[in-house]
Amino acid sequence: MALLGQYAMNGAMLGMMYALVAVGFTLFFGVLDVIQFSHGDVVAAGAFAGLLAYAALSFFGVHAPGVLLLAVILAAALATIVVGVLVARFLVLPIKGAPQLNVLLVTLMMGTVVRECIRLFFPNGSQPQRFPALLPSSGWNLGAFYLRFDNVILLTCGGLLIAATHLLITRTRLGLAIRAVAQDEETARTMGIDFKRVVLVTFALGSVLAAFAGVMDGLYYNEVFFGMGLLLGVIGFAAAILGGLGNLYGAIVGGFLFAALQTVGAVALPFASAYKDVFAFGVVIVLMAVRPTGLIGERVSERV
Amino acid sequence: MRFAAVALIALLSFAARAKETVRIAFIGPLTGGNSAIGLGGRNSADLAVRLRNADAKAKYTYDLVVLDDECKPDAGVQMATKAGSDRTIVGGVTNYCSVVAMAAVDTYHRFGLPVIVWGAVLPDITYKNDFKEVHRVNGTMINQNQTNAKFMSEHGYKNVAIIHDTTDYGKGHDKYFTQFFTQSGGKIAGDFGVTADQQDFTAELTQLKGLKPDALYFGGLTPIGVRIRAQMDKLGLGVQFDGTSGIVNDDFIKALGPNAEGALAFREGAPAEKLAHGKEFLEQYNKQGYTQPPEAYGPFAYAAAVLLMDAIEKAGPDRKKIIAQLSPAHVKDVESIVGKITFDDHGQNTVPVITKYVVQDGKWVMWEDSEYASGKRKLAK
Amino acid sequence: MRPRTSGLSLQAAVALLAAAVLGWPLIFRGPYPQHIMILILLNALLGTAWNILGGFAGQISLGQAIFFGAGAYTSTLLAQHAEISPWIGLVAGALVAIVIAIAIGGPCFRLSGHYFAIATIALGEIAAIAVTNWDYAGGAVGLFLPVEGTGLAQMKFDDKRGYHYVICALLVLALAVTVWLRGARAGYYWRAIREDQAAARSAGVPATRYKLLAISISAALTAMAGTFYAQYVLFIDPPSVLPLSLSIQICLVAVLGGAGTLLGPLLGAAVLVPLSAATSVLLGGSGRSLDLVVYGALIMVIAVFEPSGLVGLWRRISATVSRN
Repeated sequence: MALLGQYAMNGAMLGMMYALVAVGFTLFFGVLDVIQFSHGDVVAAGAFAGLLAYAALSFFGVHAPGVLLLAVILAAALATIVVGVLVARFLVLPIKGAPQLNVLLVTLMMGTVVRECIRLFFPNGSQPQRFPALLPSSGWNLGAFYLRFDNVILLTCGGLLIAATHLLITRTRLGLAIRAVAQDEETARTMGIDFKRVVLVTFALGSVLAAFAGVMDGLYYNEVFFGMGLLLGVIGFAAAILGGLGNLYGAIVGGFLFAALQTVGAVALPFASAYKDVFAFGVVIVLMAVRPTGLIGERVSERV
Repeated sequence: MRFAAVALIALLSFAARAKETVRIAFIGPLTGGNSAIGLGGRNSADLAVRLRNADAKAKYTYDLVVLDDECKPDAGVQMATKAGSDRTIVGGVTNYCSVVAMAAVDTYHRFGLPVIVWGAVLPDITYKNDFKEVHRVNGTMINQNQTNAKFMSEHGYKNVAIIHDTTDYGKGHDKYFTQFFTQSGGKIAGDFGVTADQQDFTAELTQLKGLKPDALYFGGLTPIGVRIRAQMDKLGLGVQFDGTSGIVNDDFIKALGPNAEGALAFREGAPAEKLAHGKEFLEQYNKQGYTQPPEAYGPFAYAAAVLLMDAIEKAGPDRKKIIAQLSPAHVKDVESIVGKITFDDHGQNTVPVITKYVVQDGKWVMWEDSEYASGKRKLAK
Repeated sequence: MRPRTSGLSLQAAVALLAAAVLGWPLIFRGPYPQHIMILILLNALLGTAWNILGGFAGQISLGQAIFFGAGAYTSTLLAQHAEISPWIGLVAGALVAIVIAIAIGGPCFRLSGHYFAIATIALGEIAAIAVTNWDYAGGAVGLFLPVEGTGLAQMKFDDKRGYHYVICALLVLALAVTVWLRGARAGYYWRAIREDQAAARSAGVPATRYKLLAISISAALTAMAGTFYAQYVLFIDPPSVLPLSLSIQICLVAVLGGAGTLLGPLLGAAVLVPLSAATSVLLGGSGRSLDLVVYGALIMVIAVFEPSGLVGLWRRISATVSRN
């Protein structure tokens, strides 16, 4: 029972990170019908920006964990907003009319550039970097289940952030504009909505979620490395697809589902745990074949 | 007339001095993630050649042809082909990366090029085939794990869980550690193969925690070693961490911070300053003004180059004769800076040195010099 | 009259280009320029194969490495365990790839657009992990090609010229297949499916069958390239023949050149291969290897400013020239 609790906790942490990344994919797809394939590397950029802020403050003698944590989150958010908005403004918007594939390839290459830049320009960037533990590291050892404060805090914050995003989309004027653009760009324009601005704000929003995913990854594993975004991106994308692209709840469900599949694949199935991703991706493909529009369904059924 | 005499003398002395030039190859990773070790190896081999060329007693002048295998099998095969097909190259000091060495041995054999491996540790490189061309001065992971397993049982560890990556490197370590540890009466609590780029190990570690091992053996390289050690802490898994040569580097400690304390690891060879003639080697090395340090495997590259040139001095610059000169009959208890070298039937050095390491205060310290050995600090249980 | 003359000049240009390619290894004796040309031709072949599925039939595959690996592994395993000639291995590899293609296409063609693309990415990852853990196929260690001798019968040569002409022949085969199918019924059906699958279906196009045809041909040609690669490098392992980066590279070649055009993949390969070689030679030597950054940035610039690919750029330039 305690063991099950531990697995559930591990899975929940992974699921929260995947969900935060998947929500970004789904938001971008909602407003622009594009796949922002460098989104995973934006996560990495956020984590490394946070690490830089930490190093800078420590250098100037700031050691209060609260201040450091705030600085790490702010720096990460700022960096991801800059990268996300630049991608939207200079890469995605200019080729809006081009085939979907071009957007996919351009953002893939952007991801490569971001990744390589971290590797080259972060000191000793090709090696894994230590990410400081800024949350209380104590916890309760309940037999095989080690419940840590920091994990609880991270899960709670992640949940609040997703709830806030939900409220923003459903209850504010900005959210209304985003939904209007997602429904139909032309109608939104005639209603006097500044299309470009909405797109940029949406990219900023999705990227902030990525920043939190990156910081969460760092605080959870105490280690970040330049290529961390690659798999996180593919999984986040798979999770968004699993739930149905463009669907906010779908992305969240998809994220947790993928984490659950990985955990089951590693633990409960009679083959080596090296195959857990094979299992998870395999199930994604099967589910996609059975329900081509995702578990919850795509935003609108315009794609025939 | 005077001019003619001078010319004659000049010509004679030139003839006396001009030795035949013999070309030998150095192959190693000079670019990419393993380039530091590759460049250290190249410098060390180069040092051996320079010292030999400065020696008046040497019969030949040596020319080192340096080739970059990028630690990639396809590039390694291309470089091996390049060296093998160039008939002016009579032998080689080759390969640090095991995968590359495995890919290339067939090519060395096909071209009949005698080579001495200076760093790759996979046993199969010498043992899988019966290639007379292939030799190795450094030990294999067999020797390393023999020492490791013995150390663990002697220190009271009875029940060890294993995580290894699924490359040849990790699988080999898994196999030999299991073999030697069970032979010495230990039990393997569980064995997990993981991919070399995996990020989350909490599922494996949770499962492992349920098996209640008293130590965790890790067969793999630094990046995932760091992750596993850090995540052990997250799950409250406080058992002893026992690693392989793949984690003996500063990056492992830098990435883990205080969590690295007490980690064990084993590596072929000894630090240069601990070797019999290591001080001389380092002095000569520093005199040449190389910009990169020799790194852990430099002494092996140096020893391999010396051994190859000794064989050429005795047998002449002919590939077949050199191979005969490197046979077990001739290479027995040969003195070198890495200790005595004795080749077995497969050209493998059978008396390699293995050094034990433990992390103490943010440094890899030789076990014998550590406070853990003196009893001041204790390994985890 | 103008279309006629431009058609003629195009023919002349193509003939000139073909002559240059055939004469290349006779003019350039050094191994490096010969190697680069072989890489260009190999990538052109891969791009052409992708183009049949992605360009004409409109099914974006980001998993072509599966087929490449199938070709490389099938021929190598046959050679290693049964001493079977690589030429038979070439055909066997193509057949295996077709079987895999149909197995993939069956369920995955129910998906469209992004969904098909992500499914091929996931399948590619699955294939790489599976082969990495498959001991019979060498696992993560990889396989060495047994070399019994060199010559045309062995598809292995002492110098690069032999390889050059083998890959030329394979590329000609791929182009011939493309030209033939483009003009045949399949070509029209594919275009109909690409433009609007639902409309094509209602007009009586057997869409699934023709999509399966496209993926089978694409897979077979890609597998042949894989067999060739194995003979050329003499060593294969999952990171060299099954990586996601290879699938993306194949797609880049075709899309940047111009998807859905005959010459696009050739143009794409002729630009991208030297570009990647030049960036790694010029910048990689400094030890900081900026090459991937520059390479990625250049590709982004091309894709943003010329969405229809290099063929589109070419057409615009030649239109401007002929107008003047």
